[in-house]
Amino acid sequence: MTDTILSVRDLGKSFYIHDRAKHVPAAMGISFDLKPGQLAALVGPSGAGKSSLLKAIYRTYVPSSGQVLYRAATGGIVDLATAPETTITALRRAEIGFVTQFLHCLPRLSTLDVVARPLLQQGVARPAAHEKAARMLAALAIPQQLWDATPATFSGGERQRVNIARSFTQGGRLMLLDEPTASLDPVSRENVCAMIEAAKAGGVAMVGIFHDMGVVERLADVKIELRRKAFEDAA
Amino acid sequence: MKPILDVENLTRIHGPGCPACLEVTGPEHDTNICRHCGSVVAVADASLRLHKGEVLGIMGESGSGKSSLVKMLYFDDKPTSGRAIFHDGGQAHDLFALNEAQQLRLRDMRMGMVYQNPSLGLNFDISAGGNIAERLLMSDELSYRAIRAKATALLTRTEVTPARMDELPRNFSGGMQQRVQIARALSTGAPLLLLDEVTTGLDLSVQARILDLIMELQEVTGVSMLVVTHDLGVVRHLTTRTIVMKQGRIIEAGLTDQILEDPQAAYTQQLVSSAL
Repeated sequence: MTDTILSVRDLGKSFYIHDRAKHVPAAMGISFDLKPGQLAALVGPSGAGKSSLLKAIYRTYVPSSGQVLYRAATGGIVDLATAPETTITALRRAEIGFVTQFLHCLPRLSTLDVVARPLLQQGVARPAAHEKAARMLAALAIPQQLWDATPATFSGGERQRVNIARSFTQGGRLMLLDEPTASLDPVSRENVCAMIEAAKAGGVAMVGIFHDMGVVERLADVKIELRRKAFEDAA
Repeated sequence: MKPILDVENLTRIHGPGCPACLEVTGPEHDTNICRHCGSVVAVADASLRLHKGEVLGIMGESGSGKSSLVKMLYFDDKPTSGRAIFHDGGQAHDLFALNEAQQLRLRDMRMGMVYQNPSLGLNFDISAGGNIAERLLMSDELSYRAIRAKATALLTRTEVTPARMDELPRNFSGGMQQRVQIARALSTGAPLLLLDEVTTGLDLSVQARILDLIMELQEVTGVSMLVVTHDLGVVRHLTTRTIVMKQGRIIEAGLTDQILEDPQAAYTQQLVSSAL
């Protein structure tokens, strides 16, 4: 238990839509433990609540029930489900990263700036931030002549890789990955998998959603099966 | 994180006011007009905390009380009741208990405000550079040369070409007027900045550049900001936490991504779903 970094206990999320006076369940009763360097894969058909669960861990969604116990770098245990917002923002800046399914960024920034931005926000000096960003972009095989351009003009796969480069540049102790390998060609997928493996070897714990079962078999230490059926039974 | 501003139960009632005002107004009554005395409850019992280096959004439709709230904090208006504590340089200023001279001093030196309407934040009868010099003079900078150099640096930073610093801001475009306002607000290095609908009414491309500018300045200076807006895009780009107001009340507060993706209150759900 002492080396567990994340302990999800009976986590549930449902939405209340005021407009229709309706409860919409998204995920229920999910529990798992994760150690540093381990990856938990959320698997299940679409609509089973994988993304909702990931967002509930990150607190983009307010969890409806259960606990998300995270052991912070300071050693203290924080329940991410109920922690004050300022605690969450501080952890997001320094320890917990989220790789979204799509790249959200300002269309006016260069790729290098987009990737370096989280480091700049952490107070890292510009040259150092750019150097690390460049290393990550190179590792994901984004051609150097594109680094000055904005990712808004890139293909889906390139954008996805910029997104991953940004998240891994920022690093952290816990990373949440929402389909990081979707829409990637085999070579890029291999690069991303290698990057995830390197982060795991460095002790980063991860929770991820992957559509490719081969990727799950290769990377996951824990598999969390979500079933749509659970809600149909409940309904 | 250390607080820079604590607002406690701030209330502003326009009109005579009566004991029932707060009970018969608000989102659940769908009005901010008291049916007993006819008073308008602009802000009711609003409490919030802003931390050092934080950018907090205040979102809501027109008439929700969001501008009234920041106007009181900048002493443009007086509250009916409530407190606001401004933590600055090891001191805790009880804003509405200060005398007028103390209030003006804080306003001139330790706070900055950028209004939606540049004519409120700028003196249109003096040059752009003069507008900045005016504020620097109030903050005890007295050498002409130093003031001119500082004004040039500030206008350059906010992308107003120094070649135009001797022109009247009334001749500037809306976007440029906002840039001069931002330069003026920043001129004294104040730790607290209040932004009231700063991009409303500007062209999209100008809006984007003003937002970039604000974001960059925030990152460089670490200034704390209250950002009042009805624009979900502004909230998404600038803020980490957001407060939602309706009929003078704070009805929801949370992390900005949570407010936008998993709003809890009925009104916020409606507001977020009405985004274009």
